[in-house]
Amino acid sequence: MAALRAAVLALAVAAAPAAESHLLEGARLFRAEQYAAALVEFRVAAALGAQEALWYSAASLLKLGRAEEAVEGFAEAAAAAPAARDGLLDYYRAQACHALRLYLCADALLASVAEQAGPRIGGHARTMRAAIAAELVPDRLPAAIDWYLARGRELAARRPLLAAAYLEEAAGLGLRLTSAYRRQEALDALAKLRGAPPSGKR
Amino acid sequence: MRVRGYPSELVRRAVAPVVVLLVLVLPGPARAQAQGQVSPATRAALHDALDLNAPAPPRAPSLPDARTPLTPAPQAPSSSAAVDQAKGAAASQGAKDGRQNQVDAANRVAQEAAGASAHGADASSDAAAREVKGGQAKMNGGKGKGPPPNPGNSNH
Repeated sequence: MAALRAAVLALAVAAAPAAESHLLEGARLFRAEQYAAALVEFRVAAALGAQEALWYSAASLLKLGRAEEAVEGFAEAAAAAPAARDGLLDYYRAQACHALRLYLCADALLASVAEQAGPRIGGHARTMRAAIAAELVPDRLPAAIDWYLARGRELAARRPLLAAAYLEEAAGLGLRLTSAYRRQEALDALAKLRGAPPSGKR
Repeated sequence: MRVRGYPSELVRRAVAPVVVLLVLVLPGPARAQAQGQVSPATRAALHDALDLNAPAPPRAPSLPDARTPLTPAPQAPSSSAAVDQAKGAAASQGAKDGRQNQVDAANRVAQEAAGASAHGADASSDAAAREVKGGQAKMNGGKGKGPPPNPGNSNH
């Protein structure tokens, strides 16, 4: 029994700081703008059990210009570690959505960022929201909805998380038109996507 | 006398000291990690790094239309799929094998990333490979393992 106790304690002590040290190293590298190396650290931390690291992996992907993977990463992080979400992470996620022209997605996140984040990030969020509001004029929405639907369907089999983001955008924009242009199609495609077993990201 | 449904004295005597030891002996970060959480100090460091490098507002939004290509153009400075897969493999392999093998896995990342760039990957993937290689070589620092960093490989 004494040996078991010692083993449990040793395992807990040895395993616990490992993920933490990778997170700290990832933070240092991110701060130094070495995002590719930071991404490796965050992924190791996540693999060691620190689910919160998924948020930082996604932020690193955004900084590397890999917005599609970032959107997928943020979706995974939100599912795995919802409590770790905060205004700053939402700002990064909104930037990823914005980069993919998912403006409703970005706007919804930025709405909370403007209230939660500090004055600098909050100011950025308000600037972005104003620009998005100016762009979402009704006469341009049908063509955009067509594009989002086509993109979502194209990705559905290969990258379901990304496909869902595009289909949600189509459905959300449809709600802004009195005709609810193709909204039901988008919702049906989403339901089909979520009912199907996950087929992996790539 | 033993009450039905309660743990036996033997079990309580065995478990209680372990619980006390875990609470008293584990340092703060380790305790937080054992609970699946990140310690406040680490979270503060992460928050600080993200805040420092938070992107500025992007260019003005532009809704897609019929002329917009469905497949976006490659985004710079993206790294290649080969580099990416190597990174993911290192992460999962490191978790499986433990700390020492993480170093080995990191070395493999560096080697594969360098290999990917040598086999026709674009300049951005090459830069990513160098970054990974440099970062992982630093991880090896003090452990006496792995290849040294190769700062000379930057003549682009």
